[in-house]
Amino acid sequence: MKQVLDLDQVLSSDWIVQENQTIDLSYANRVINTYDELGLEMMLRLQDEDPKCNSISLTVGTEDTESMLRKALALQVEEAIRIDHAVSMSQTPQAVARMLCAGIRKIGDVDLVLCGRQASGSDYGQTGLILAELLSWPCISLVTEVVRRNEGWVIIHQVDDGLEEVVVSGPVVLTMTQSADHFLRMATLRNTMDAKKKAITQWSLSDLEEWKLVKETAGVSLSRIFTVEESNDCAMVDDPEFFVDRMIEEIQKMNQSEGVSL
Amino acid sequence: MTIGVVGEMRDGKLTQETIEAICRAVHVKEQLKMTIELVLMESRENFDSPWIDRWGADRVIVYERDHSERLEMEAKLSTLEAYVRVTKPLALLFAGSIQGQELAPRLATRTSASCLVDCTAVKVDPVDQELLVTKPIYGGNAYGEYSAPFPCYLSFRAKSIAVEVKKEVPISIQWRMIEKTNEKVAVVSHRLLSAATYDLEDKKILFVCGRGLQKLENIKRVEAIASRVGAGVAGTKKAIENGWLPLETMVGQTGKILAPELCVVLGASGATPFVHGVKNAKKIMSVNKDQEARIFEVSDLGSADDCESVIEAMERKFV
Repeated sequence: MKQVLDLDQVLSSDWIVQENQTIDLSYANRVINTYDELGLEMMLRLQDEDPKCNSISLTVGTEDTESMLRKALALQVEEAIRIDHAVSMSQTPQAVARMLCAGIRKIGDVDLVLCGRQASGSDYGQTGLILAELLSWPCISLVTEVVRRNEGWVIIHQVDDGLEEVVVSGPVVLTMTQSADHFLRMATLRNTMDAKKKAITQWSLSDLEEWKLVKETAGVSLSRIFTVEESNDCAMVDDPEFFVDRMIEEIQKMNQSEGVSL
Repeated sequence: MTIGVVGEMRDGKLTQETIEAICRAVHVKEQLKMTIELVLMESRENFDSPWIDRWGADRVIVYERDHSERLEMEAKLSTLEAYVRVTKPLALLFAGSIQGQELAPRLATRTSASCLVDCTAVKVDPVDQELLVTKPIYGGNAYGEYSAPFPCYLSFRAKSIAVEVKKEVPISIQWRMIEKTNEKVAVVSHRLLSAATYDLEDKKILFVCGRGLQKLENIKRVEAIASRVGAGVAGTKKAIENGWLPLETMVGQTGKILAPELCVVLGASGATPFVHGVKNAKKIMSVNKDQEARIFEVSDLGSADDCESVIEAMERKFV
């Protein structure tokens, strides 16, 4: 899971790049990345279905990511692990995937890894795919549903041709995308209070013996941030009828050029 | 030096995303003298070569696949690994499809290349002789320019470049055999549950439904109006999450990027990731009862009325 800034709180006028090539978003709340929430909810559903299923939330981040892990614990995730490392905009997905890979190998007996398709911030959209490569596991991307059956993981995901059901028999990495009626459940007040007392396992990179063994790949580097003013002069109309008349005019103009009547 | 374009075909023809990737390669070629190789994995039965020479590729390499068998992702990756081993391309550009966005990072990890997906621009840094690649960050609210060392693999956001027809010149088409996989992937079976329709991309008029429509019944009313005017109906992320419309109709940064002539947005606030999906429309007309909604910043005409009033007005005209 990744903690990100709640960009919905940021006003259009606040997207200003400072001289040091950063944007001041310090007032925005820190939240669980939307797509990671879908992965968390999916894991909880698998746990609901099979109480023997052990659930772990794993993140890379500093101490301030622990509020996110406590939220997961409040939702009855059994264990929370934080790899202590500050993740910044300049961090490449390769570097994060290497740390996650080493963490998953340290955990050991893992059958399924769920992660979001991308995180708002750097928006790389690559970490889950790279992680699967580093683990030498298959990766099914843009997943909307997963259940455990005798034959393996039955996964529904989005492909260019539509929605596909895939059955995978071994361990697999899934990257989650949005789908209907998949929202992260709410924790009860009692569970939220209890989660505050639970321990969060913390690993430093030196604890991850395998970290340096994971192959390092070439990375890109962020050299400049900029914004683009995308503003139209929008003419506002008061009357719905007038709005629809203007819409009809536009359609008629298009149809006239093609010789079609409305 | 070679720049490879990993292309895709649908119904025997190059996909729009593939043509866009070739056009990107042509732009890079103008700055670095390179040969453009279009790399395809297709059966002879499906391969239709007319028009393949009009986009600017210098050579076409087709890895021949069995017409009757599905080509697994692992086989595609092994084949591209073999291509990279033989050709050592300076850059590989992938079609901006779901498959392209998945292949690029995985292949880059296997072959130690730098990689970016969902890019919107690329140019050559004349000093460092590396690529400078632009992609949206912070949910599309800003852009990042990245230095990407060679070899570099990129996939581009759909419709982020206008395609240009180049002078048709005869190009060689070379057939090679697809690589056998090492079978390490434990995929037991596949089944297509619902087939994608490509209607939305072709529609000149698009109605986009947002959370402000409030209920499924209103979506159905919009669909009825749309069928009368020959428009497509798409949804925002919130509309999809509410189960009002299928996932494949989602418009936005993580959905479809569309460029209709007229886009009528009903009840969407105009969150930046969504706006990226419609901003290429020639004309945007929006309805949102919040006069301050961000959608009006990118619209040509706006109405701060309740969506239902506008739907009723449309029904009086069309239904």
